[in-house]
Amino acid sequence: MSLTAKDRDVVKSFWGKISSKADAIGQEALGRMLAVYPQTKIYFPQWSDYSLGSAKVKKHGKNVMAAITDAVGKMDDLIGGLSSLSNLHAKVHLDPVNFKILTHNILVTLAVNFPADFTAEVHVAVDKFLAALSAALADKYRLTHHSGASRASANRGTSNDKAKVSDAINKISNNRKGFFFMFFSRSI
Amino acid sequence: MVEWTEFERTTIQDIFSKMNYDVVGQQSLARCLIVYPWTQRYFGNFGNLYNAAAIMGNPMVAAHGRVVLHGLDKAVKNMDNIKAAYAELSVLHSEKLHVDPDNFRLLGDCLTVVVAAQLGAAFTPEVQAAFQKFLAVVISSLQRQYH
Repeated sequence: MSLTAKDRDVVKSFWGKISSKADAIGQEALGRMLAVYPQTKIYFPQWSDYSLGSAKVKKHGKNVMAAITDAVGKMDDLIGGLSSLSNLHAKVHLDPVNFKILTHNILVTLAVNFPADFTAEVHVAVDKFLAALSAALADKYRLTHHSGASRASANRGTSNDKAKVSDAINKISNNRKGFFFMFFSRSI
Repeated sequence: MVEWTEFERTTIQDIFSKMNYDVVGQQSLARCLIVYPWTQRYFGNFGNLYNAAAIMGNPMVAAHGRVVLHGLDKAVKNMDNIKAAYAELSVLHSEKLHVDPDNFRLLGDCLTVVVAAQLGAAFTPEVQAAFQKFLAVVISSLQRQYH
């Protein structure tokens, strides 16, 4: 479900209204998630206090919300903009079902704190944005098809890889003007 | 058999006793039709659902929202056996209305957002947990007779 120009405008405009409270919203959304969906605690096994007011929840909630606010400015290319965060979430094996769960708790937090501004139109635009963001966050999952493989050994050739190979071949063919090398480089 | 704590029972009774069924019913169903427009499939005869403003102002949506909310009363009054209380409603939604059960969750989520907006800070994480547990039991009971 792609974001229309109107969706982007609505999200940007609403985010302008809430940005001064972003830290608190992140904290509350995370606190709600941990309370209402206790299975999400498994991703934070070192924490001792999962309550809304705890220091860890406050800090992590702030980080998450900062990244989401950052993504508001990257709506034209969420997949590209969230690439390294996607790798991070894949590395920690975060089940992508949890993106929906946190999304729901962000929406509830927005409704609680901005009841007049969080209209149905804002609700649908923000939900679409967070769904697109979640898809971008899951984009780098399942790049390798066997467990235990490192990120570096991805068996999918990217256009970057192809360019590097092509460059190397060109360098060889420029140094050795033999017919064989020129023929080989053109076939890339 | 679902176990309810004292806090959960009190919270549910409290929320529903103070609820304005007209407002919350209309708001929740309207939001569901706006945020998840594929749910409009069940309301082909509701007239103008072309945009958010039309849905919000549609009197059939308002009336039906009230009906759905009053349907929740059955569960509020029979918290110790919602499964049995909802047997007929489950058959209705499955056999006659052919509602995709995922839509129960979507409407439940919209209802949660509307109640959250109504209660504000009083809708604490603990209250939210109790409310969502209640909705989960209702949804599970509604799905039981699907086959």
